[in-house]
Amino acid sequence: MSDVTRILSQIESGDSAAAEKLLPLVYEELRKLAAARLAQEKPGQTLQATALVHDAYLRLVDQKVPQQWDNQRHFFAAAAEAMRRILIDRARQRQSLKRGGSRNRVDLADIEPAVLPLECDDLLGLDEALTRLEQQDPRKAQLVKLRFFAGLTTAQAAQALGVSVATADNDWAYARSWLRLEMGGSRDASSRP
Amino acid sequence: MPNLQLDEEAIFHVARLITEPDVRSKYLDQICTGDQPLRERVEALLQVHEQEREFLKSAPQLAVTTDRPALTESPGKTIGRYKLLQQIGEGGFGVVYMAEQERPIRRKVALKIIKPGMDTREVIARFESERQALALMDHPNIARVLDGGATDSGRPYFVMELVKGVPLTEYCDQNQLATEERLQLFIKVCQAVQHAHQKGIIHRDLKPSNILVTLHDGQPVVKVIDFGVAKAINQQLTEKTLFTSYGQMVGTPAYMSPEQAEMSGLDVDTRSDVYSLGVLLYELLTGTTPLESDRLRTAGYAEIQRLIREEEPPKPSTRLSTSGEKLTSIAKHRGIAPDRLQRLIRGDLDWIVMKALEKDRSRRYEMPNSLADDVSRYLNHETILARPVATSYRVRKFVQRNKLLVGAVSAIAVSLLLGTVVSTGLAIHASRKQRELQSVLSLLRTELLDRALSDAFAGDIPATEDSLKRATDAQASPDLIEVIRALSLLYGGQLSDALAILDAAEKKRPDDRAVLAAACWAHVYAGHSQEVSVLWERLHRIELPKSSVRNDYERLLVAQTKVFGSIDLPKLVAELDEIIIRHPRWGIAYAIRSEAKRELAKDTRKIVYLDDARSDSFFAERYHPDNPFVLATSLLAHTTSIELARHQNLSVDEIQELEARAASIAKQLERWPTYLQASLPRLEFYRLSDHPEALKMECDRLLEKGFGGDQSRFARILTEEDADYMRAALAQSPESLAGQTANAILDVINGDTEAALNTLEKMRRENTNLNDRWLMLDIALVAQQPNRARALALECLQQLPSRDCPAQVRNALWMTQYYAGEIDEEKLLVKVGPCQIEQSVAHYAIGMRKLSTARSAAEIAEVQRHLKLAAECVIPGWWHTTFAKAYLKLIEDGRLPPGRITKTESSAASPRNYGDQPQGYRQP
Repeated sequence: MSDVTRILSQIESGDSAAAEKLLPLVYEELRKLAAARLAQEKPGQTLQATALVHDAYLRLVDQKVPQQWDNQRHFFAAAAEAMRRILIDRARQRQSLKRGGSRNRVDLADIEPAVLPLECDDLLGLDEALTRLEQQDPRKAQLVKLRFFAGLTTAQAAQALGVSVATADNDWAYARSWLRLEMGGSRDASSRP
Repeated sequence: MPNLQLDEEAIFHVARLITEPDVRSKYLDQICTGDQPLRERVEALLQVHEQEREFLKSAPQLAVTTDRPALTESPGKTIGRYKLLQQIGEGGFGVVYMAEQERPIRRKVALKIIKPGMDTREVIARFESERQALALMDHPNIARVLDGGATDSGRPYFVMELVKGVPLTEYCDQNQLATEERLQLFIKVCQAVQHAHQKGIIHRDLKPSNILVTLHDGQPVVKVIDFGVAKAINQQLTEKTLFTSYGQMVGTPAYMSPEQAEMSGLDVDTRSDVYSLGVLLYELLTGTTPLESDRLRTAGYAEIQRLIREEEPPKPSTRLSTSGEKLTSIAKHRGIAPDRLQRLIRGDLDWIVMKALEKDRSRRYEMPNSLADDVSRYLNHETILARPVATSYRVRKFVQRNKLLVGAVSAIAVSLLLGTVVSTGLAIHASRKQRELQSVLSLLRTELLDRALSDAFAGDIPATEDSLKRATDAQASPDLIEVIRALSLLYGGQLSDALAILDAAEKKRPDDRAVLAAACWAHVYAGHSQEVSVLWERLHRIELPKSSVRNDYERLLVAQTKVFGSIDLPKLVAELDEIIIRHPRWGIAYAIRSEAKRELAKDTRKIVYLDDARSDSFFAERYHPDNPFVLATSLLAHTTSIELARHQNLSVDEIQELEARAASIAKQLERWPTYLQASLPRLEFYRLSDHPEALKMECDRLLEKGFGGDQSRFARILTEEDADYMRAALAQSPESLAGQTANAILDVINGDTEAALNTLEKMRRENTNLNDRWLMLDIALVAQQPNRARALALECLQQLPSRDCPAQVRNALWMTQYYAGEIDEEKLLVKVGPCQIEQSVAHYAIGMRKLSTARSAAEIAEVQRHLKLAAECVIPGWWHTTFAKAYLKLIEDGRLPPGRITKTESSAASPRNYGDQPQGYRQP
């Protein structure tokens, strides 16, 4: 049984400490995968972050052990957070490079995150907006993370959050517009989620 | 302003559903009166919602930015006999260059260099093995493959005839080709692929980017490129192909046949190309692939495999009808009005596409030409071969062949049959025979369960039992049998027995959606709103398992319950479409879809949905000619059609025709006088066709059966104009809640408010059930006790779920919040949503709350205004409209509000702020 599979079943059986072990493992795997995959590509080529997440799932979670959705749910929550951190770390690093910062990491240094049609800076803006959303309305923020960073479908994300698909659809529509406005500078002082 | 955000979000959700700009603007004017910042904010949100559709749509990307050692091949270099001129394209597997060949003839060619990561020797070997055959291909619509080899850096390359064109789908959309023109081009593609097949070449990677259109003398010419390439590079659906280069959509799984999605990769024949052609046709017709690329993009590798192998795509016309706003642009690209496009595709083209897309390749068109021939037949208005769809055909054939078996099957008979076969000792033969028998058994189960289900919906308990017994023998799932049994009891009028079974089953199997759906439905019948909302919420939390026959029953039952909740009707209709595609003979499914379409018509006020609803009930009747459930559905479809038709001033002829048909269905339904499900449709019909005696009789029946719980009794009592009859009805059950409520309201009308309030207090002490509390609310409001009503409403609120509840309960929630003073009139009108029915509910609540404080003539007029708005709603089956009419009549007659008559006599006795002390006004 793989480490991650074991951790997932520990979480499932109520071991809350196990959840903390999950994030670093997933984070490392995603970094490694991204570096390896992109090493085969040439400049300008892109790779979908969410495809990496699903790939990591296949690699980390024992496919022979039948997975309860509850287990998968924990995995994708961790993966969404890990992918977000990777993208944001990279975006920050790119930004400091642009400002003339020194480049001393080789690991993922050749990789630039992009949120089409957003630019690198926008990704940081999105992250800030998302952090604000998280404080005000954690459910909507978590939905955005699951859908955008982990690539879950609405139905999957709805289930992970324990809400109906209709609610998830509504939340998504509102959160999307809200985040965009938040990123575009606050048009209205009273804009709160 | 702690509530500002909530309002902003609620308004946003309502407004985004209003597509008409004028209507939306009016709505915003009304809702945001005096709050310009709020309005601007909502408009900004809406603008993002609609204009910036791409935002957060595609997943974040990781990109390589720094240069690594450049690839050795680049313009100017020479590969073999070819000089690279410029890069002209880039696909998943490699880069395509325009190149110049010098010897033996000087010409320009396309040279495709495969990306690193393949075993070059193997690729070249596979290419060489097919080279002879490739050279034999000679067709004006096929780009010739000229050469192949390895570059100096050891990468395989292919040389092809240079085609300067755009992908077929792009060409069609850019030039707004009509469907017929698209079909003409598609036939050419089929013919080209057929030619290759005759030379023994399978393409294996047919997709729009491999089918280019060039212009030759102004005429579009199709060119299929890349023949032989896919086989040489041995394309398979692997983790690698999916994820490594997913950004570029390598070997997009959208066009991949189910057998290609299997990992083996060995077993692919010409019919795999037929499948891909089917996908292409689907896309040409609808603008989307059967498995939508969005879905594939977000699915994992195993999930993609499963989708390709198992998921039945919706028919093209169904996809169009559910494509929402996109439909307009899809239709525009085809130079046709959206509704006409749907009609054009529904029917023959649906069948043709679905036959090409059969998961089982033996049921597809044998070869591209037979697909092309059927398309030509369609264009020539000849009968196509694809109809009827293979599944229904097969089932029908099966039943014809096995009539006796279906009638008399038992586990013993089957095991004997199995035994006989095995004992003959022909082992190989036997195992095949056994498999056949297993599949016969499975078809039989479907057949028997289908029959049991239709008997159950018809409330025919003995017939259901009979079918269920045989289904048990045929090893059908006991869980499902239990649910069907409970349904037969429910529709057969044995409500409490049905509830007992379902409540017990629900405790045993809390995750069984079929049980939850049926239990939810049974509680609807019993009028237990609280149970309904709890079950409803749970039903929504449980993931739908993989598709199978058993689960389609579940789906159907869940769908039926959802029709009641009338949430997300278009999606529900699509779901029912899928069920019907899989089970074209499930009459009950047609009946339920008819209900869903009817609800959709009520929601959207579009009479076309009622045409669909009636056509579905027609199909349902064809499969179950003597089924009261089906007839009841049909009658409802007709009564609602009549009401909408009258409302929308349709021609007298049309209305009369509808009325005549409704009358004939109602007459047929008379054969089941005690069938509960038929009562409501009959009630509506008698009301519409002005048959007071029949109406009264039907009301009595409903009263006896207790449909909808006490509220129906109550409404019945209130609407009864004849006081003697009302007394008589009360005499039947003076101690029931309805009886007590009606008596209390009569007391108020007769001026004895004190007695009414005593009754109210007694009821309040004795009953804590949510429904009962709602009944009591009316007493408090009519007796003009606003504070008491508020207290009652607060008690109700504690029992109500706060989110995700079905439509009826949701409306009750907002009404109760309004009664409790938690939201005001305007907010209530926003919350219930823009549909007439919902607005009508809100106006009822507003009217009633105003009634509780109305004193002056102006105030009473205001009450009447709201109650009239509530009563005006033309949609049948909602009790509040009946209540509203009853109260309006009482106000008109001067019997409400209670103080009114006294007031006109001694105005000093009615101070405005007299609070909640019982006044005990008496009529003179």
